[in-house]
Amino acid sequence: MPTVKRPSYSRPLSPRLAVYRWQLPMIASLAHRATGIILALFVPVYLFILTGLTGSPDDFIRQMAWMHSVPGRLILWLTGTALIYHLVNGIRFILLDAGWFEARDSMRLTARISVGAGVLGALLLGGFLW
Amino acid sequence: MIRLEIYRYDPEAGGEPCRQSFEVPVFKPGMKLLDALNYIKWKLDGTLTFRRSCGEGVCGSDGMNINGVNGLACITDVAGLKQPIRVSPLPGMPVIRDLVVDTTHFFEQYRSIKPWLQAVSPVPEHERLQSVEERAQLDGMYECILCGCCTTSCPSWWWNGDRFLGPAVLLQADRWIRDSRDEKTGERLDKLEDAFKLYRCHQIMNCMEACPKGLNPTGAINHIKRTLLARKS
Repeated sequence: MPTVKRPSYSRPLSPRLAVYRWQLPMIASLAHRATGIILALFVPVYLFILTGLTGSPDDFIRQMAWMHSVPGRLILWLTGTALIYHLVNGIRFILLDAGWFEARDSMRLTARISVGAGVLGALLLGGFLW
Repeated sequence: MIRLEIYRYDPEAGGEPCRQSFEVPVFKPGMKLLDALNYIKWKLDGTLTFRRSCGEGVCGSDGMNINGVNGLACITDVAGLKQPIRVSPLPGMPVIRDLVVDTTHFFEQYRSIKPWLQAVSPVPEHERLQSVEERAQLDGMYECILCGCCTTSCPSWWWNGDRFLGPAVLLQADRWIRDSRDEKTGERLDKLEDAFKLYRCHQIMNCMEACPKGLNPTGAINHIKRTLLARKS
């Protein structure tokens, strides 16, 4: 297959993100990538917490205090929410890959379930942390 | 009266694209967006430029972005649309004039998947037969009219359109992969097995939401991926 090249034009590009209406399956896909990035970025934070907790008893107390502080709780809340959403929607994507829920309505319904689970998880986790 | 806000661009006048407002009376029951555009062109402003042909959702000429979602103007009721109706050309395409976009690249991509029956076995005396079940495999694919509504709704295609084939072309590719009479399935799959051509699909599903014929290109793309996987194992 020859590589298809887009010819160059002096013509304006029609508006895309500026006009396109946000739809739930689109949000579900974008949120999946965003939460994936958050989870990857959390890895060094996780190692930082782990080394803090397993050092000396003084380190342990300092680390616990940090985790109970507002930025600590915010980071745990954000990562926890990302984990819940990424897990639920990840299962949804795997099922779709395997050929389940492929009807148009099922795709919409499962997007609702994923986003709903993410929002519910965020609320429950928020209630637990505060 | 219906209020519309239409994207305008005149290459001869130069300058930036802009939006122009129009008011059109409701002059018939079941009025479609294409009727409103025709009214503007014939009665208000003859310079408004758009494509249309059959006027009944079969030719796929009048794909455009209507209130943020792509669709065919000829089968979109004005009654259900929020006003002012914002009409823009299909997204992510070079604009030739007003609502007319350059579809060259889109059809180049279509051509690249060889959208025709490829068979090496000798031509039978009569037609190449297909069972009812084999024919049913093509349901949900043969209806595609290549209007481009799905491909131009896809963010992956917006960013990587030079290499990602986009939903319409991949649905057509799947149509030939599924066709029991086609004998180049392996070759077709070889050519699609590419990080960009096929695997830039991130299941955003805008294509499924946009398709005016009620098809599901995301499902077709997943079917190609599964076929590739089944071939390996």
